[in-house]
Amino acid sequence: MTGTVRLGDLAHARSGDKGNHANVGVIAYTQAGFDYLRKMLTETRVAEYFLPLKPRAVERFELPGILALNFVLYDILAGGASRSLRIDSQGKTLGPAILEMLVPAPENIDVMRKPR
Amino acid sequence: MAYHDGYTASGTLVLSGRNAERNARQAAETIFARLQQAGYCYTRTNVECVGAGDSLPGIWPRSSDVWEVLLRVSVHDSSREAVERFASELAPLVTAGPPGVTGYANARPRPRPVLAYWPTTISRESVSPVTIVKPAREWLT
Repeated sequence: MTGTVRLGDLAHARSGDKGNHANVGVIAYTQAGFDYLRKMLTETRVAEYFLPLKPRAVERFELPGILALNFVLYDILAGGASRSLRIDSQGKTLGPAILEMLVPAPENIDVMRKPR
Repeated sequence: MAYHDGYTASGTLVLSGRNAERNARQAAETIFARLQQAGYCYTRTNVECVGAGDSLPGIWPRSSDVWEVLLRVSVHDSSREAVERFASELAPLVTAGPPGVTGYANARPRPRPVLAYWPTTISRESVSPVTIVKPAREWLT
């Protein structure tokens, strides 16, 4: 194992709001990538990554049939769509943001990348 | 349940040139200093430099060589008058603020009522259903 890779090297992501909570869906490109993310991308890790935005809690849901992990970030939107003063009141930027997380490079990274 | 939760307004200006972000933050401080002098303070305020990483503050990497930012300043308060006063404080920065301020052609920001939501359940016995139909403008007076 050498160095790190971007989460975006092995998955894509999309996010959005529900009230003052947001969810971030992380979808692996391959089964190998999903198996790796399932081990590595824990609730704690995601909570630490988004700490500057002060989520109250993070809960992970697994969707193995579509190689996806869905993270619900509670009370992360500073009031939600109706009350938030942020330009991103819907949490749409959280998806692109999580893909910039650096994770330890797995040995079989080449089979996890987006298939051509 | 939806409920009326005061007023909000957001205004934007573009600041350009060297130190665009620093100038934008200084401009925002000036706005709130002037409001404070006039006796106004707000329940919540927010200052964002869009283009410098503020769509996710603390997450996106910061860059020092940003040559333009969209300064977005927002307030929330129960007083409509206070929010209106805030809205009138952006324009002076165009002529009396730092050079290179632009993007102000959309007139002053307009205060809007905040309709907040309280997701909850209420037992059936506590509620007597009533139906009222009237135009939207009459709900907020």
